[in-house]
Amino acid sequence: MLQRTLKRLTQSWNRDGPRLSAEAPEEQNPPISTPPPAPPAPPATTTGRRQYPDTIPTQTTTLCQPTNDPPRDVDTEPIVQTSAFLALPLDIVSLVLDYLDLRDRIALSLTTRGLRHLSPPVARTHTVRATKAAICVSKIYKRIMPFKYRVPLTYTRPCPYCGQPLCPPTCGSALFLDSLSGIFYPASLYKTRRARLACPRESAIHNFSTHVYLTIWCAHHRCPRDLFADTRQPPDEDIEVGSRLFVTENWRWWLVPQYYRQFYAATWLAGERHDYSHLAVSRTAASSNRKSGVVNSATGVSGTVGDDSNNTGQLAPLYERFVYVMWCMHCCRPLVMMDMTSWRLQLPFRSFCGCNEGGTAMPGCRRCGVVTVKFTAVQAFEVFSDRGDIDRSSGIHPGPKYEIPRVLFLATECKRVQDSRTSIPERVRIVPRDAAAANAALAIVRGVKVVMPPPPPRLGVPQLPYEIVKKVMEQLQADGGGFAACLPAYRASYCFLKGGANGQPVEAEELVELATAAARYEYGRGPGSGYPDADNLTPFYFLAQR
Amino acid sequence: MAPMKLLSSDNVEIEVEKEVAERSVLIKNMLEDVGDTTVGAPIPIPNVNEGVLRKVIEWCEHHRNDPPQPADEDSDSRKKSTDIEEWDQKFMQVDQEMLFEIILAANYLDIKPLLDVGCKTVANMIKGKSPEEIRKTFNIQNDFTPEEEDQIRRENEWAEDR
Repeated sequence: MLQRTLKRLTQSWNRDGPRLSAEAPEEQNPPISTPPPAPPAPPATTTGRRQYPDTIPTQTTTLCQPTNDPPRDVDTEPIVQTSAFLALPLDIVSLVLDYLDLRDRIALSLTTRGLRHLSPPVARTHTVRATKAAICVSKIYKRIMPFKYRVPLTYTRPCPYCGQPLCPPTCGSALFLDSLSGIFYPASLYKTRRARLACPRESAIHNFSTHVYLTIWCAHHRCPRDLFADTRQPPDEDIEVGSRLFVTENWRWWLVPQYYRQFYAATWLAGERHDYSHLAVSRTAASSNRKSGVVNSATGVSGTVGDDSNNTGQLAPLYERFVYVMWCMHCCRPLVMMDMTSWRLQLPFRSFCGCNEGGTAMPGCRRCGVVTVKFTAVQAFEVFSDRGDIDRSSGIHPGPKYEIPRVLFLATECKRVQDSRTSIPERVRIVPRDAAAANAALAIVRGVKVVMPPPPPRLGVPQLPYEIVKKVMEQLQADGGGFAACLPAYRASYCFLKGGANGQPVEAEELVELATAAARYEYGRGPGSGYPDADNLTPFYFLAQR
Repeated sequence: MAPMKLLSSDNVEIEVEKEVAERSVLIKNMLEDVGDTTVGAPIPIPNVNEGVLRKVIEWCEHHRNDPPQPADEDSDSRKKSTDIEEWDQKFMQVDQEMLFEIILAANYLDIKPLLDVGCKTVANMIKGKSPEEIRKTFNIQNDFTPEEEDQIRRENEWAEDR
């Protein structure tokens, strides 16, 4: 019996050659070069697996017919695929596909002609259900393969606020300032095909179903940081320009400082920037330069006050707040989540995803998917104050001061990455999907050059066990630094907060406590309004409330 | 446990415990067919070379005590989590050639859990990437012409944004 079995195995090997997929002979499978529009599930084998043709064909599909466009210079030599992935039997590939969502299948189908059959064109249909599916597929294609916009390459309309020429929406670094929320969105999170530039005075009467943007900031255009320095009245009071337009058109945003206070998240160290507060920058000079549209080639932003060439200030830490929100990629709206109240996001957003109207368990569109979006509060403008006191000894006016931050928000698409190291406490991280683009977008909205902290080492404090992190914090406190010593650590990394909480997630309310304590400490309000004296705060004061 | 021998495609005999080898449904069925082989000739595994076979055996040894998968667990119920156990994740940290060899060997030997881990690993290499990034990952040449890309755009343009 054994000999017979061995003989059968050997015969099988000799017949099939090195091919490992021993499920079905090739001739039983249909050719894959002409896949059906909607491939039915292949029949299951005795082992429960599906049968597919053995390997992925290359250059055999006729799906993409040549068009009437003039031919371009292409090699007539056929491309020989040497990828080991393409040599996998299709029954294995089908198993891999089981773990991919629609977006990933479409992305895979666009890598080579041989895989196009994984996402055949969606046939036009009149049934509502199919149309919804087709819209999702269409949206995914548009995300993966950005369409060429049918708009002129250059806008003739200038920026309504600073007068500089605007880039078209096709600009690779374009950030759309949404009229409804005062949030800058990259093209991937915005309905750019349907969105339109607001007409003057339009933004106050928003249409919630349409995306309307007020201006585009990009690597080539950014309103100067001193936009609000110009408080001159226009000759004709009916014509509003610059900051006046910014304020009157978008009066809702000037609740932004209010949002900012309600932005219940701790502030995190983003880097260091030059401290301009002591510079006596002439308001006149600033406003005259502003119209010149000077662009700093290094940072890609207008250079007046924020231009580093004028800077002699010392570096000061830059803190920014951010929260993460789940975002539906179909309707480009946030999901209503339980923790939304932690940021009072109802105020800036006003409308939320309704794609799960079918009653599915998970919110959001299940075909287009949901992503995590990071909303960062960025100080986009600085406002001069006239209240700078004259130095009585010298009689010199110190010049305007930067006092009031004008905060706008930047949306950044993120992804979850898993660290394969088993020894670290946090293995899943949320990072920007495109780190370079995210940094560029932040630089544009910040408008100043920020010295980024050095890249973290492969093994650093965030990779330490939380018990050790807590001991570090306790030591820091024991050395007499108290809350003041621990606050920078809390702001530098979430791992310090979580270490203080014995490795448990820190709740939104606790972050509120931290933010309140930090504000009380920094502004020196001291005791008296229900919170302990800042100097007496322990590093774990707010965590002890749990 | 009684040892037995497997013969790789490059004619290397590898001793393995029967319990471990029986993680492979192919070998298990074969042993049931032929009876006791502990003192017999090695079982040839003609499609798997020594290096891959040793990796597969390493996986089987680590998972020797895993409960058997339910018989009805197929594609629908298996969907769709790509979470991989830590040990398996480390086990799959090999070059792509070895990864695909392990997958093919798992398919041939009918070791479904190993096949699933391999497929999940490949799926994780695809997830969230653009076509260009996938091409780089798997060394795939872009054989679409610009005209074909335009046509794909047109084919999917009819469904308007809502």
